[in-house]
Amino acid sequence: MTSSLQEISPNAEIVSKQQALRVNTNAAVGLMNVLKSNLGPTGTLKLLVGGAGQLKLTKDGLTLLKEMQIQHPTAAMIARSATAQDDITGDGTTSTVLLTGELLRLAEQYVAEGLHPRILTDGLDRARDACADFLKSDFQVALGEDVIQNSDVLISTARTSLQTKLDLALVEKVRVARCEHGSFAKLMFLSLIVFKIARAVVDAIQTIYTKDAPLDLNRVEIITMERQSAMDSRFVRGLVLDHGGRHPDMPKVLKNVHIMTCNISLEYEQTETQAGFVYSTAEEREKLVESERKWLDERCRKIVSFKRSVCGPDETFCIINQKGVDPLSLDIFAKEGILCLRRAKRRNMERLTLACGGSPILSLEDLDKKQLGYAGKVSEVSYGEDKYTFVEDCPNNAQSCTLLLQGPNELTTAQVKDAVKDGLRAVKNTVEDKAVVPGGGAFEIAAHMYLHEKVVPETAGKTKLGVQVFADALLIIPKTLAANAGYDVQESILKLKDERKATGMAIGMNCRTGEPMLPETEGVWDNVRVKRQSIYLSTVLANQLLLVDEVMRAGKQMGKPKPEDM
Amino acid sequence: MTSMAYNSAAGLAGMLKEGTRHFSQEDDPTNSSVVLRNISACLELSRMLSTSLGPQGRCKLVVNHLEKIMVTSDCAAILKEVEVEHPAAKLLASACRKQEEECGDNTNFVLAFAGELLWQTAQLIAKMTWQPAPEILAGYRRALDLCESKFFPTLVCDSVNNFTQKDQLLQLLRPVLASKQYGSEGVLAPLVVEACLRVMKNGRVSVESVRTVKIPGASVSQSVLLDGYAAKSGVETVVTSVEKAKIAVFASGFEASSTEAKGTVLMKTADDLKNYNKSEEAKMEEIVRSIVESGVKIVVTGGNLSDMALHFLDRHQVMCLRIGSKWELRRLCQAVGATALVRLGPPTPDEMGYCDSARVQEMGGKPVTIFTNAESKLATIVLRASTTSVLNDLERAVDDGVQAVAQAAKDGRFVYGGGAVEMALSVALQQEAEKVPGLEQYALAAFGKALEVIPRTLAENAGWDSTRVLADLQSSHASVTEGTICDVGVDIDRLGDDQGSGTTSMKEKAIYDLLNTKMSALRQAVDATVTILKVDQIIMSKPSGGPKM
Repeated sequence: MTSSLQEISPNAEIVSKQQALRVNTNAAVGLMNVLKSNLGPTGTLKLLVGGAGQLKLTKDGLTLLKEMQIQHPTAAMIARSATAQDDITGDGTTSTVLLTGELLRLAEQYVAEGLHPRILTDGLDRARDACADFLKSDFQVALGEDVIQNSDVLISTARTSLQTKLDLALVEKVRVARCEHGSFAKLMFLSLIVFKIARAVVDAIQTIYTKDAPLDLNRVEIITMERQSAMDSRFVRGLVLDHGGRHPDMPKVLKNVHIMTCNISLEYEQTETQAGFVYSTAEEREKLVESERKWLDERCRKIVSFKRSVCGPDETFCIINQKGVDPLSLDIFAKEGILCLRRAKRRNMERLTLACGGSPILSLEDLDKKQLGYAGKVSEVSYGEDKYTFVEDCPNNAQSCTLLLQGPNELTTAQVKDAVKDGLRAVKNTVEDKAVVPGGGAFEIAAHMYLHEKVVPETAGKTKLGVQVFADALLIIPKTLAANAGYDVQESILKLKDERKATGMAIGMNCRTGEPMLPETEGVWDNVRVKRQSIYLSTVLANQLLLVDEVMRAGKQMGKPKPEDM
Repeated sequence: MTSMAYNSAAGLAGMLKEGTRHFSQEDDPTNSSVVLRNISACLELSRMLSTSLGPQGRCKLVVNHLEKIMVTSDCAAILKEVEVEHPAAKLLASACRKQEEECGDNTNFVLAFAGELLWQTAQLIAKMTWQPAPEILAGYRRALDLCESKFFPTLVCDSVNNFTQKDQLLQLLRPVLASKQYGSEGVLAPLVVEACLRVMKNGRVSVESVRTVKIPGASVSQSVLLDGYAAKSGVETVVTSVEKAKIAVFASGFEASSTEAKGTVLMKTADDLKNYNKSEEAKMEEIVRSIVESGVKIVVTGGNLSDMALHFLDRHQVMCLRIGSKWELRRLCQAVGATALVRLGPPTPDEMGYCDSARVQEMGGKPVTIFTNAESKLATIVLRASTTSVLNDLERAVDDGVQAVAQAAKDGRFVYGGGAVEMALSVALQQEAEKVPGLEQYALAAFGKALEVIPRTLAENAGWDSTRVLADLQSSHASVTEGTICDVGVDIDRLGDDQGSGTTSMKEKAIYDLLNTKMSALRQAVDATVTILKVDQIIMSKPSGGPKM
């Protein structure tokens, strides 16, 4: 194979025509095979070892793609686009990679038989649009305006998302629990831990929800602690700060607390200009030392007298300062029974005023009670070397809250944290979409049948083939679910199809039994935008890759990667 | 034309960055799948440390990367120094560390049991497909659940209910310490019990309230308990011993105060110089006098002590001690009930601490300042031994002992030690397994079988024929009547002859374990095992710098 490019740049590498497609397809299918085993609640885990030997256990597609350091150009392109899926919707990364891989795998056969890729891509586009319409008009379940109040659906969505990210779901005690939520008032098999975390996630979203404003997930602080087990994770109506008071005599537990959120320097500030004192006796020096402190003492005294004026009996005071507080000032506050936290994080300052009310205090002039927040309880807890401050029982109109995640080790907490972030996104999506899709592969089965029954006959000419490819590719999701759960792929798919045909209802796959189920009654809900995005993204990717006829790498030879044997 | 970068045949390895390693079951589906390889790595670690299990466990000599030598049989301490590199073994090691942090004991149990459970799984896998079926993992969970909720409660033989009872605590501590420092438990246990009883507040023991001071020299039997605090340094002043003294503690230095901004002394004549020094002296004397007048006889400072201050302190017959560490200073405050002051000046009466006596004593050729106070909420155990490595080991043993008491304060239930409880669980589980259908049956049986590793290792380490001992144990535990607890365990005292059977009554020997610690260890081990078994692929980035794995 000679190419004109090589005459221009002798170092360039070229892969063209059929071979280019094969390279692309292989990369896409290869990536698909890597991620395949992680899909769904019964997927397995991958252990990632970083450059410094740090461990990460994960089954989250996004995390995997991010950490895998993919270099193959095609694979990297798919991986990057799939992570875009996550940026937009927070979920569905694995599905997108799977769908892309399957689309290419099926399309390659037709191209090999001489079909022009352009015709195929037309078919894919047509099928995609039909599929999206089907999703919108026929399949999605609308939830109405007051979706935020609909706790059962929200919890179910969170649960569906969490189940696919947490391996704990399978191994943690699975109990028959009574689920007391409206239409779900029936006995269900569910993992307690997932249920508990899902509950916390929904509580968090409901706390930060304000009508007519976009949900700002930054208002939810996620804090991890390495102790006890993941079961002890919980929702905190308030804020948990990862530091404590820096004075041994400060109170550890306060009740009925006025919270002063401030950004005021309470330590000695160096002058901007070169300055010094000149003295000639020790008395003079003492005086200078005193005068130096005077300014700070004055400020502290102001705060102390403010505290005295606002605090009634049984009320206490807590200062949370973004700037520093020096030991002498801390001492003054400790004597007054004030808990003072210094060097709080900026983002926590915003969350604090949202959670406790009040406003950040930037100057000590005109202190007003209205600027103070309120919390029912503030307590400082130390676990080993680490100190945490819990600002709890905030007023009911709190706009910010904390998800406290615990786990026996860093691996678990990191995993739970990633999962919770996705859970939050899933609930957010539901609230914004005001609709959900039955999960467990239900949509893919239904769309597959719809395309074959309705769209294929209506399509004329060779474009038909593209639609067929798309329809068959969709089945990769239920197929993989079945394979991961340890059931026969063909048999499970046939069962699902028959059931769908017979009942006309949304039929998903039960990953525990391998049997068809009704996602609606099991509470398995996916997000509309995740599905839609996944369909669009994978089609775009597949189309682009199909239309590639040359892969070139110009310029310097990068050195050949040596596959190391293990 | 196709370069390696586009080599379609290279699979995942061809896609990743150079130097990345990737293990999955597809590479070699026959015998060395990832799961099996992980199991063998963990087994390696667990077998290595199993010789250190129990009172008769052998010590390891570990030389760490700083060439520091450590001789110990404490599993957690060894793991800390051995840099485990294999990712799966790392998971196991982190489970041990967690156990050490939460309970301070039974770390080797975690390792030994998890290792054995993995080994049992490997044998199950050999009979099935490459991947441990979800049922097996669920079965392990179920077994753990059964142990926790069904079997353990029936195996509780005693409980500590009255913490003022020294005997009860002693009974509990002896086996804990024996497994770390066999032979010294007779000396250490009373010390630890005494120390814990002193610092007990509302029935709770704070681990931080019992301190150890290690002083090389003499022997273990000369270790003593002090009511109060011991600083490993002498005093600065001439006065070295004070009785019934009030104490002022300064977190700041004891020296002339200085301004934050740069200060310059302005002098024009020689007289100025003289006068300046005089004024400094006068100022310092004033401060010292005011402190002395408030009744303080001992001054402790966390920062610098200027020569001038020292001079005046000496002149006023005040004892002065410098403690550099902030934490140590805080402990001293706790011991004598003082508040650390940040400003130089006389303390108010409630800021002052008090001690019955403070004196400098020589121990092992080093001065030690001892503050004693009958009311103190801090106890210090002075450990003596010939070498630092023994001292360190003793310290670890004491820490574990205090942890055990703290745990007992939360939940004081006992089970029989010496492998008896493991054997009982093992027998019960294997019997239970027969009633369960499906793959879970194998899981329960494997779990039960794996529990035998504890008595077997104990027997092996004590020099018995482990197979015979195990058989004896099994028969005694299997023939136990409903409602009673079999207390037969491994006899670790092999008295120089082969006459003994290797088993004995744990009740007579008074060997107990805390239920809580055992349960936590079991939980950690199962958690680690299940996690390791769930991994189907390992993707390792190229190590960044440093020596290669």
